Amino acid sequence: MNLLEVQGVTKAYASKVAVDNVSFVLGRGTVFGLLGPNGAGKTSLIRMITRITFPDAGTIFFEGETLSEKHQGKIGYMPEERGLYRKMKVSEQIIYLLRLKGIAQKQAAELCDYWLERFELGKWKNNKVQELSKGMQQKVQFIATIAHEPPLLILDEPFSGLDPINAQLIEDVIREFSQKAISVIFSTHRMEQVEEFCNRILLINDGRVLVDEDIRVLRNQFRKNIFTVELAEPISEDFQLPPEVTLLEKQNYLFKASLPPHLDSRYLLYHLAQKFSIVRFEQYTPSLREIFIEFVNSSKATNSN
Amino acid sequence: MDKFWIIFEREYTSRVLKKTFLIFTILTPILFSLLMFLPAIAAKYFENEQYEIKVIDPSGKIFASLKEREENDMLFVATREPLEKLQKELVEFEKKSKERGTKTERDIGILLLPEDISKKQLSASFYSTKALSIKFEAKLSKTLEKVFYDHKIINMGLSPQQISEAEVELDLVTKKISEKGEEKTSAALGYVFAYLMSFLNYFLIFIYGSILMQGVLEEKANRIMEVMISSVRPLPMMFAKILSIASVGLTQLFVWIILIALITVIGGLTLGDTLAASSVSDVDSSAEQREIAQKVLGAIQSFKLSYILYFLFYFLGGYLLYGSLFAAIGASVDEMQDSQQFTTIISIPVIIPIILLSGIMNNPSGSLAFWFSIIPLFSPIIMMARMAATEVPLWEILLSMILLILGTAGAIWVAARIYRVGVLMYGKKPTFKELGKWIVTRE
Repeated sequence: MNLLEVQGVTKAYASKVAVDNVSFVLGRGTVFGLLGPNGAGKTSLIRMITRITFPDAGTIFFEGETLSEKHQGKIGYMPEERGLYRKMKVSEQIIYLLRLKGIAQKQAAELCDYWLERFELGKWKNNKVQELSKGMQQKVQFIATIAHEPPLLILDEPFSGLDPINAQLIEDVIREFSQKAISVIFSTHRMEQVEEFCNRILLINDGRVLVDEDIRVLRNQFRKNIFTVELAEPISEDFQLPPEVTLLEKQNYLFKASLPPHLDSRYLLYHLAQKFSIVRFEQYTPSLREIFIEFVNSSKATNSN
Repeated sequence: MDKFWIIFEREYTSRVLKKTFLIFTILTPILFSLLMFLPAIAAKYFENEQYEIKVIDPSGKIFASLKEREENDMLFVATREPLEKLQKELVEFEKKSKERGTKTERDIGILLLPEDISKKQLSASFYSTKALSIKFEAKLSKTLEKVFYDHKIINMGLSPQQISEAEVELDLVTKKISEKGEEKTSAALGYVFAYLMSFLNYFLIFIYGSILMQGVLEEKANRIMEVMISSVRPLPMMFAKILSIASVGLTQLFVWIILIALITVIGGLTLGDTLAASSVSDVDSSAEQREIAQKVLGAIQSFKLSYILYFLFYFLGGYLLYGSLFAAIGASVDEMQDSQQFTTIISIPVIIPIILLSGIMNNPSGSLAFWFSIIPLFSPIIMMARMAATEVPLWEILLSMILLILGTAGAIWVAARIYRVGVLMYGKKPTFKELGKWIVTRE
């Protein structure tokens, strides 16, 4: 059974359709990258999953049941715009938010202590939130979101404003949680983070799903017939390639060439191996960033046509 | 429901345990009672000044009757020395006693009476090294007036006995009549009380309304709202806030009622004699003050429980009506400044009855008073004033209460509609048209 199933969900606001017939499925333990340009409908979608707003059409299922109020405790949500009660003490704040997620006072206090220690905030426990640095506040917010280990975590730009050491603390938690079959929806603009963490991505633009794919499959799809080759000796002036191969770029030891679709790496490798000693041979794989830009641009093009 | 109580508990305790709340709650009734008892306390604990007055009486006709009116704090001694010499002696004496650091039992004053005592406009001079209190000055002045007045009348041929027989004292007692019979009241006091109660209600509604608005606004500005709404539905959250702050207000009122009652009883026991002995002498200028203090004390001691209950009802009704609208404003703007336009509009119906109050109080049973005490927007303020000033028919009270309940329910409904949309709206301040749309759109 899937953890979350979104079926044909649509949400319109006065001025525009924010989410347009979106469907996807989220399995347990998946780290799910929710991508899209600004205003694509990511936040609108997240708000419906967290039951902050409600879809105009379509249904959301959680653990096989229609999403309802009883599931709110099973979803931890950290919005991009962070917010805490500034005059509340750190521990009171965390316990309060956990209690609102349905955790009993005593257990909430224990969880709070454990996580504050783990995030090196133990001695700040009785300080007011406003006395903490921004990074520390962010950690407090993260603890309040995840301490009760809900089956679904929704993190909107969880690393923004964190130094590498604190970012590492949060990364470790996310990895640890995905081992525990906790699913994470990870909304961000930072593609390198998505590549690092996520095993699946959902790319939306203008409220519609453009891509919903396993990250490996996606990359294979976008792999192009372009190769970078490094030779052991400098490339001479009269360097020649077979007629089907187009030379794109050439430097001292290195060249880049593209093959027509009906040929693959074996063809080029075979030809080169007869004449040269090869140091490096690499098929070009676009980064997620490039895939993202390509998708968004092509969807813009189709829209304007 | 669980979540409602978690929020309620936090909102309530975080406010009630605040230092400023505790100080304000405890200090207010104490200050209030101090003001009330001040004249009595002053009379009891601060000794009045005592003077030995050297009287220069050029006509030689006044001193004898002045001596007759001598009191312990006002002794008269006749002298024939010239004024300049007496003045020098007085300054000298004062200097010496200061040097020696001794305190004299009585201060010394010099009274110069007029030579020609037949005129209508008379003038006398009093010299002392210290400034006189207003009270003592008034007492001395009244004594002198009386003495000169008596002197003139005796000259006309009446005996002192005849004069004292002709003197009259009158106390005007006003009584309010109703079906229950007659009750002693003081009209002026009733009005003072009416103003006091309606202003109190006005301030409480405003103060607690703004506290509520600020609370909601803070959550929005702090961006914690989104986290909260992902755990709790907006409406239980709104109700938890409104009701917790109402409870804070009621807590404060209860503390005030209990403290004032306590202080009144204790004060009445310890200061009762002083208060009762109000008009020892008709030249005592604080007699009036004492009388007022006594009347206020009497009013509070005979304070009707029903009035307190009505007051609590109208406070609660008014607070819920205006408070929920304040909460809706807090939810629909991002910053304090943006809220001003909206709060101004809400304030108008609260201010109107305050402006009209004196007009309404001229005739607390008139039609203006009637309508304003029936309409829910105004009734929390006007009804309190009317009830303090006059006997309001029961059916009018019931009608007013039912309409207030309906009005409050309506305000809460509107507020809830605005709140649920507003809490998630950031950016531009909404227009009235948009607010209207929020009210009518479905979830």
